[in-house]
Amino acid sequence: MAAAAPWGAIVNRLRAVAAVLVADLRQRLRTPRFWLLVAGLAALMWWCFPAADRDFLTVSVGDGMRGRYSSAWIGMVVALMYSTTLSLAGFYLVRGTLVRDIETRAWQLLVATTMSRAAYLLAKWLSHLVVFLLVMAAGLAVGLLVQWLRAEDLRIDLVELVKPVLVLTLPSLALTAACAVWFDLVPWLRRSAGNVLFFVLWVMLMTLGVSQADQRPDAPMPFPGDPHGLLLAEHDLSRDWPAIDPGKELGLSIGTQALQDKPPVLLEWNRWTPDAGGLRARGFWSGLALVVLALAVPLLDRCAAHVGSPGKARGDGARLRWLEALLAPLQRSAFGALVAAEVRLVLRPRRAWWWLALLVALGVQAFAPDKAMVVAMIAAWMLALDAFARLVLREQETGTAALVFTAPDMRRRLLAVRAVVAIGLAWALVLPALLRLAWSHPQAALAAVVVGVSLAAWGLATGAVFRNGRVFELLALAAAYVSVQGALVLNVVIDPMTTLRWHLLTLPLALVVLTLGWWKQPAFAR
Amino acid sequence: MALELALQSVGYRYRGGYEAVSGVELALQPGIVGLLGPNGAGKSTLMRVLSTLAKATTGRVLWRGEDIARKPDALRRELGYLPQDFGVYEALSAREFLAFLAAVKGLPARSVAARVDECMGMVGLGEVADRRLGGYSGGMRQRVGIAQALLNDPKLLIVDEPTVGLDPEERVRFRHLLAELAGERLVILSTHIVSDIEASAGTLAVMANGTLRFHGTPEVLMAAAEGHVWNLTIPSEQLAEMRARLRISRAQRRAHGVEVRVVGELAPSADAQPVAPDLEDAYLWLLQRHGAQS
Repeated sequence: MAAAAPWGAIVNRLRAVAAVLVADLRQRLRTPRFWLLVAGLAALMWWCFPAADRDFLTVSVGDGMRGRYSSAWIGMVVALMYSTTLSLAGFYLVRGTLVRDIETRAWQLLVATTMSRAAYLLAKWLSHLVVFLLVMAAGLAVGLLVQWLRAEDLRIDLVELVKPVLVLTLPSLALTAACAVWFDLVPWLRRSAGNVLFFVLWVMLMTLGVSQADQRPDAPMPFPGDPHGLLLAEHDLSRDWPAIDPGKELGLSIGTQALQDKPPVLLEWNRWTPDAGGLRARGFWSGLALVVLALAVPLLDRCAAHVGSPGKARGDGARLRWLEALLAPLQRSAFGALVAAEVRLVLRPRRAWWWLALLVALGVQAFAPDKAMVVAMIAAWMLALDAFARLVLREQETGTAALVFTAPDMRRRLLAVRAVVAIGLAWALVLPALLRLAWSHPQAALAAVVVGVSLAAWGLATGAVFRNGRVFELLALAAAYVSVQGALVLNVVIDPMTTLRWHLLTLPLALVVLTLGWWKQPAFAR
Repeated sequence: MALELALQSVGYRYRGGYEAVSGVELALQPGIVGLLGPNGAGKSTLMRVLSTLAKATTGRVLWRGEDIARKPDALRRELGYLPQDFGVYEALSAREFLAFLAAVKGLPARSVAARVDECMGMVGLGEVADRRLGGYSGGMRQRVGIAQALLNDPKLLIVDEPTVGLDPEERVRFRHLLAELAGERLVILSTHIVSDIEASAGTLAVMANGTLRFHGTPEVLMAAAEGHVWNLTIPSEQLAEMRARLRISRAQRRAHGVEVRVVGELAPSADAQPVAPDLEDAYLWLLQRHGAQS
């Protein structure tokens, strides 16, 4: 009897973890949207395995080389693609489950049980991992289909197929899942600020991997390497293919590589045997994920006490008397009063650091050289990322839909108000740059005006369709990151007319998506 | 067109197939209509249909003769709605929030400030009007909800479980306010608490299991329960057994036992005394007749 008691307690704890895990998964998996997303991600995996006669590669080595489509190589491609992309996008996919428990007060029901805090967080973390595993399983299924259809190597070896995913990708995603738990827990990371910070963290971890790369065939594998497993993959591929390009490094490349009318060189690679050092490194990152998770346990109660809307979590914000003076003329009309209220709601909850950062960005736009000015423009737009992404979600997030949408003609009016506020904000944030460019580079000024409209339209559209701001935040952050490095998406100076043209081309699509999404919102339909 | 809300065979079926409301026929004129029913009876769904937040899946609702599914704005212009659950913008003060909703409802800009003050005064929030809503208690927020429903001086006022979260004093104040407001407007008050409406409602509609079980005056409802309510005193240890067997509308502990009021077809015992039913007894008797749980 005495021996049975601890065993019974363990079983009860496991049951509690399983119960939270199952409930959480039910909540996530019972939406057609989730399965559509899994299917979409699996379909994208198809693009990672171009046929031998196509003119591009996605995962390649050396100059236009790749592995023959064996189970091992397909597993490696899936592992590398998911380790890099899903470790970022997956965060935005899985996060929010703890926030939901806290905000819906379901947490209060759980608090009153004997379930331990550690068990609760473990269940949430496992739930994230199960979601990742489902996505990866779909990707591997596509990989198997590719192996059969491309018929470059028809020997199916399920162990070799799955091994890279388990060794490389799982630790990377375990860390992402632990971050998702943390970012849901800490009140000020629960929304846009957390989404931005995770993107920065991901870029830093990626850079950490790249900066350690030593691709000489005999170079030792640094411990613990990088969380995404890129160093280990490169190390072991380099070991297996020491002579593909004598005297040069392996040159593992993830991302589209054009072949310029040359057929790809296909290399044999049927088996991957990671050594003990490599496995230790991957074990380190898995362990780190568990440590990160465990560190959240003591904070759970304190963080969960911050219930309520983000406005409450952040305090009431500043009074902004200067803003009232600016908005006073708007109060004379009903439409103006709505615009004024929206502007107040967008600006009031902002903290001092936000205003300081904006001031710096505006100053740089006004006085710095062109290159710095463009970076400051992008930074200013990113400062208002949450406004673009969530403006359309206000009724959903504050529970005011029943109050607002029982007024006549409110859908149309509110959409117009939101569009005016979002576009106005996008322009106001880059006003010094706009004025400078209008004088020195009118085409760039015009491009900035259109990019502002495009940001506003896509923010509203994605919010209306996906009913959360994360999709837009991820896309906009990625666009900002590549634009700072010279891509044209948000960079209006390099080739303004191309930037302008692309945004104008996508604008009608954004408007259609916005219109459909806004009118289909369930809060005020059936 | 006369101020009338007509429900013609109104039904609402959720996407999963669950039928929350079925075949409701009602014609409502100015005055307070109490919509009673146990939890899950379909009251809130019906309220959502009447407030144009959901479209009836069968039948139609006519406001002043216009189908609200086709012309929702005809009703929305004259509607004040207090939902069961609602949120507020916590970064705004109560005054700013109401001014915002006044603009939403299309009130003329020049009259907004005065109307907001008036409505805040009606619900007793005049002195804290400039405090942020983030710092309001649950009861104060509920009062803000009531104030916003009154902003456009609505001809149709729909209030869904309005007294939830209010303390006893606030509850009494709200009942008085509602009685004052009735006049030339139609007030639909949905609740499962009989005392919320017993003094003020001129008409009752009782729902159970998604269908309308009664529509008429409280007097008619009480008359129907005549001869089905008994009073008796029992030893306290018999109370649990009696609760399991009979429908008890009230139980009060006395020096010599527990005095219970029983609703039922037959007298529970030979010493039970028939008594005149009140609204709570009549409501319970109606539910019992239709096999619904209170």
